[in-house]
Amino acid sequence: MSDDTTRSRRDFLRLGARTTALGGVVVGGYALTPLSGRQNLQARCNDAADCDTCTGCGTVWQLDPALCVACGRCQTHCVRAESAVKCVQAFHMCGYCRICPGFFETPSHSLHEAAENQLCPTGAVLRRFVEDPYYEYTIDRDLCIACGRCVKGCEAYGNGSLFLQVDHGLCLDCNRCSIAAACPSQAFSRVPLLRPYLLKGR
Amino acid sequence: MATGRFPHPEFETGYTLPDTQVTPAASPWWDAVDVALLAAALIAASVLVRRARSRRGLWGLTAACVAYFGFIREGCICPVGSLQNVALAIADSTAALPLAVAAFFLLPIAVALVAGRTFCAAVCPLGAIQELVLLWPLRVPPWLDRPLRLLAWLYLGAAVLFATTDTLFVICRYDPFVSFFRLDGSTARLVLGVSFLAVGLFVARPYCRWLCPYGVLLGVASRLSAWPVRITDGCTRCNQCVGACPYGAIDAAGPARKVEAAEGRPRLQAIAMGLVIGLGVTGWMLGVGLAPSLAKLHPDVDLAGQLLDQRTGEPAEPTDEIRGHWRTGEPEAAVFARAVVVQQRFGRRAPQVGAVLGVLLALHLWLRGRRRVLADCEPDRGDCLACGRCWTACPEEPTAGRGPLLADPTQRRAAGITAVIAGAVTLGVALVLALAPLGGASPTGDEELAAMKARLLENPGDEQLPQAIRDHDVTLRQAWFGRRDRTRTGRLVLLIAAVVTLGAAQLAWPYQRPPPPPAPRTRKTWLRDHRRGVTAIGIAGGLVVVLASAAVLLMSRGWEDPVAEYAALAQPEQRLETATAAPPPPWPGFRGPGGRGLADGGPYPTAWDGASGEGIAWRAEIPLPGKGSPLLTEELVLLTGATEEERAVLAYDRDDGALRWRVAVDAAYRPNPEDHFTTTNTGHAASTPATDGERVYAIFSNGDLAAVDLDGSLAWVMNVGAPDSAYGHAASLVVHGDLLLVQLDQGLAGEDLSELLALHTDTGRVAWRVKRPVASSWTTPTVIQHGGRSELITAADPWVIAYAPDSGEELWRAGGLRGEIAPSPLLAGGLVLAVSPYERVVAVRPGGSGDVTEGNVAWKVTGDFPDLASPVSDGQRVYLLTRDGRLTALALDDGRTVGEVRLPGDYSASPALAGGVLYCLSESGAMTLVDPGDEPRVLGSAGLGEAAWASPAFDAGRIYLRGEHHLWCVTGTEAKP
Repeated sequence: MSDDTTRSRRDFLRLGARTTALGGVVVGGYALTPLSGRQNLQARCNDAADCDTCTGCGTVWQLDPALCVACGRCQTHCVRAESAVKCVQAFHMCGYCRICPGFFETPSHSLHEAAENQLCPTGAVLRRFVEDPYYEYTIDRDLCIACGRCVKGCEAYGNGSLFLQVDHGLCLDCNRCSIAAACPSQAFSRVPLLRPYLLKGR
Repeated sequence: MATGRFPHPEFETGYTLPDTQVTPAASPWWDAVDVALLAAALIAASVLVRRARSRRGLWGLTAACVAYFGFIREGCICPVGSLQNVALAIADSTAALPLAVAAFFLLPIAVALVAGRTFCAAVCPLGAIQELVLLWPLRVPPWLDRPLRLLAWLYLGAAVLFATTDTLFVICRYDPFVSFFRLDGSTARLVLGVSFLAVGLFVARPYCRWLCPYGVLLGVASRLSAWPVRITDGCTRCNQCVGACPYGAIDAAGPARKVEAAEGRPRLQAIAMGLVIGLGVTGWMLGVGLAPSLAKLHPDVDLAGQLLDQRTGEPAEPTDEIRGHWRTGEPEAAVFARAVVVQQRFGRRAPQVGAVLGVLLALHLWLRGRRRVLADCEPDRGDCLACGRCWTACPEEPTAGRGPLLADPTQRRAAGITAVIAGAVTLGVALVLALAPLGGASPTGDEELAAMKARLLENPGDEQLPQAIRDHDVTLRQAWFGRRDRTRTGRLVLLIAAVVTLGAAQLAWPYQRPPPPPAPRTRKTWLRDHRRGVTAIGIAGGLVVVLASAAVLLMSRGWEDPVAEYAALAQPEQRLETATAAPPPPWPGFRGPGGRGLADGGPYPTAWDGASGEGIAWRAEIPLPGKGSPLLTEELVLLTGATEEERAVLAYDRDDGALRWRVAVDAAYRPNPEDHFTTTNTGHAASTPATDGERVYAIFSNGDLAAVDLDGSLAWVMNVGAPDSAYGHAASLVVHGDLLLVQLDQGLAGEDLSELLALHTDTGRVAWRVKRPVASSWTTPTVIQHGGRSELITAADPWVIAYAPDSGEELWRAGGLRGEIAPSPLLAGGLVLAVSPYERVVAVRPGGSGDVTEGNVAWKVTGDFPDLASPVSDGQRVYLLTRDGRLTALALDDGRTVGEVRLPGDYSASPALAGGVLYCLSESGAMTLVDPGDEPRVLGSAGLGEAAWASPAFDAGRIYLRGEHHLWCVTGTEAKP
């Protein structure tokens, strides 16, 4: 057996393996992608029957406020130093309470807006008088750190109109959301890119 | 947990509701751009490697790719991570694999089959950032390099196993460089990345060589490549390229004299065979042994473990995971069932992955060990990263391709100066950032602030403390946000400076000074190297086998079968049966068992006189007013009382009427206590409590809801909100299994305010809640059995609705009710009867689904029907008692009126049928006894001597009556009327 025959045999085997592998890449790629008729079976996509532009390709992470227990891990587990999760207010659900359990400590020392009474550690819940006895509560997105304290308060004693959502202006859409991995209630899932929020009460 | 606990205000000042502010997601077209750019970069890299042979070009492409795929697209999605998506999509046919991700996975592999690892050369952002920092490459000796490369195989195995079981994506979680690309991230991640890059200054691409799982796949593909990287033609065996390759990927040309092919081969073959079998078996064993521990990383198995721990009382406080599970309302058995599925999946896949990995690894080692005698120096097809250093070092390469990246010494000098300046900036910024720790203390974690707030609550009068808290709070916030802003800009500056430093340094480095090339091979050194290589691999393989076996032996000790353990817990029904083995309380809720107003255990007294005490066993004072009815357990009479200020659950001894205990109910938080409103007719304790023999559950007009253990200790208390209804809250509670059902009807039918709530009896947490499309009502729901399923029947304007009591799912509804409905629905003669006050009785056949008004309404009759008292039935007739004392009997089969009698007095309490006698308690406290039948007639009457609104309770020949001020136990006189 000369060197040349060894080489040509090796090259032949290599050619065969290469052709098989390339074929495998093409067939495998087709079999695994939505082109092959594979539905995007993620529940959210199926629910959004009217989400006609959803091809099952574009999805982003979102958390379901119905499952969220406001444990506070959104604040600490995001890959970003400042979490991409922020609190949002569903105004149509809000009771506009004078004594808002998402704004004040429960129990609170008194009912003025000083630091000793405020629940939010960064002062991100803003309070504005509307008319007696109603106050409007909004979230300062820049100050919110997604600790979930106001969410917990509003859930426990109020209407639950304050809740957490992944802010897609900040979210980097990691392949696997690192908060999702830490979420105790498995509230994170991928949702259609064109329906990127799971807002409460709608 | 309540949504809509407080009504949405009706603004009078023209305030318009703002929309919830959210930021739209990025455009999906980025994906297509990414794929196109990836393909373009791959082609460019291949052309630069194979045809242009330009290391400068490659270097430029590397910088461009690290800029785009790294810093602009922030390192996600990358082909390395995409292999997990592919693995998941293969294992789970429901998992979607987006086109872009599939393309990212497949394109580099396809290119590797053609032109080798050109993806690694310049396109991969993880590789590129390491390539850029490589300044002073040290040679890693093969005996260390080879075994370390095995780590990548293990990493690949772990990544595939965890991805296919949908547990976690390890590659993404421990990606060391992604936080650089994002200029962000936790300190731990940044430290990990910095250490990799610090090592990478001297050791070429540590991640790519020893860890990258995707690199393993590309290596295999690259071995088959058609046009792999070539070093310059006309090899002179100078070994310059071997010295220049920082990855140890070049096989030096063999000795000039031929080495016999057979030399050293038999031993190699034997080792290879042993390795294939040994590593295959080891991999399988490792899989078997590690599967239970690995499965614990899956969230479902983790949750199951926590639920189990909680049953044994550890920890006392529910964990976040358990609270999350409660929130779903899912039974625990379902969690255990899912955990079993995951465990079985791990039990199957871990050994498979282990065995396949072991065999592949052995084959790989064998192929590596089969060293050929090379005529020319050749890059190893699998390990070569196509960086192009070999040909720039080759003396035979035409001049254009040779030399350092910058040929001109003055340019190199300029680059050197830039590197020094940028390096100084980097150091300075890094120092500043190091002084202000990254991340730092969170504003939520300050214990001092929390302690000060707690102190203030204890000493509300302290005038210094509020100011101290404010000052401390401001300090904390300033520190936090100041640090945030500083690190934001600091990181950016640091990163730019560091990249400039490294890039300039690399350009300035006279790269033609690699470590001295090894001496050309002789026959002796070739054989020596070969033996060493084989021995190293053999030792490494043997070590893996020994360590793995030891690990499995150690870990398998004391293991029980966790699958069996959870599988046993996945059977919910048996547990329930044993838990509720105790006999049900004799009179557990409003109108007794099933809420039907029927009592066994007769005969019951028919004559007594409260004023004289005749026929009265005992009488006990009730300290708080209330219209709710009494309940009976084997030992206690339970009832509630409340005023606007205080609420209590009371328990009396059934034998002597002694007040055994009294538990005050006060929910911690009621935001708008002044909002709740009730009429004096209803009072504050109109709802009858309910008991399951373990606890008694009570609800009050302000929405306070409490569970009290039958030994008199408060189990839990909450506030469900006071309903917005004309008369206040009056619906009684119902216990079904381990759920407490609370009907909170309020507002008008279109307002969507009414709801039905199921709480876990042990904790008060919400199991489910559903909105009801009905107006305010004061009816008590009832649970019936029909066709093998339980149906929770509710009645309110305008629907009778049946729900599945375990899930809250609506089963069916029938229309036809109107008005302010207080009489509760009743199951009689196989029909559900509901009363529309003053006008109508509707009889519905239970079962079916959807709106059954057309199909299942058996009959409807109009007439003057009660607005308060609930109906009662003897199985053939239903008796309805209006407030003003008209008792009507309707035949159950068609609803025709069969008899009617006028009773003296006004009636609020619902009548009850006991011992063949209909007991109708009038508001004056007189019990009118009626002989039921087609022609009901009054038998007589027995007085209490005080007003009464509550429905009576019956058990064991005694009647328990709640009067305005007293609780009465009636045993009756011997005399018959």
